[in-house]
Amino acid sequence: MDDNKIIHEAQSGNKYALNVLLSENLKILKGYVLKMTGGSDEAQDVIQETLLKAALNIKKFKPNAKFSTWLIRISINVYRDLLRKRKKEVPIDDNIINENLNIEDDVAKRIEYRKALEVLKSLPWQKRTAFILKYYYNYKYEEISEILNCPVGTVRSRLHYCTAEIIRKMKESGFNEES
Amino acid sequence: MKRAKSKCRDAMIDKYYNEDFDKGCIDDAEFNKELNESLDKMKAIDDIDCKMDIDILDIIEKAEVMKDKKKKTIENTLFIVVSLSIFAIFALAAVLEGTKFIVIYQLVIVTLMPFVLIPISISKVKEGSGYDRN
Repeated sequence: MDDNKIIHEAQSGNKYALNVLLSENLKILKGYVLKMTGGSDEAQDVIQETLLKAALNIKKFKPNAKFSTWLIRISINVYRDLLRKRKKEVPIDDNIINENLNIEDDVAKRIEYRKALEVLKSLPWQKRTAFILKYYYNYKYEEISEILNCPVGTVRSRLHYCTAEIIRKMKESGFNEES
Repeated sequence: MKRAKSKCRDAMIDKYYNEDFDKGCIDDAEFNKELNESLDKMKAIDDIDCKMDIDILDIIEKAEVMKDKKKKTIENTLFIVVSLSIFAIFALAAVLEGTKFIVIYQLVIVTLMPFVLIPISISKVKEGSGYDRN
């Protein structure tokens, strides 16, 4: 069954189609939210809330955009609301590092992994969102501006800021020299 | 000078991301190296994953329950609003026209109602949406 048909079926109330649709897009949503939060518990809360909102508002989805993009847009709003409630971000969860690296992986790799997460997490959340969407998901500036509901110029300046900050932080910690 | 340098760095960042960039800028080789090295380090978390306890079917069921609850709340509110409006109209009519109006109204309704409800019921049954005859 092609994507459009699954979406149409899900919008008509077919629970099986909705389950297939959400399951197929769970991996991309999970990756995005984990990068955004850096914590498995927080990520799980955001993902569950996102999926619930998607299931509630499936009829509002317009197939002119990718379904995964729509899910990411919902998760951005969910995460924003979560931050408003908590008023601060939670620290990076070491379980994520342990789960993604094997015991055989050397210490240097672990440090590098943690540093990448720390640098990402240290960026302001709106700027971090723009960076993740561009760097890891290769969205165009125009698409990011639509997702974040802000002008293209803002997306561009957020990315410039993030990139400059990443370079500065990597330099500060001496990571660039190590390679 | 500093502004021009910053503008060129921005252009190099745009170039890195394969977006339109200011071609009039001079390439800063050192910055370019830093840019590539730093962003390469960020690739470490590209395939980040984590075990999570997410039951999509359960979430869908929860959404269905929430939808039904919302629908029921709207229907109940609408029913109360309509009922109160009808009562208010009756009360107003009784005050303005006297109790005789209510008696006449009830007689008219009781006489006309079968002529309205029976054809509606028949058409519903014929469509098969009224009730299941099997």
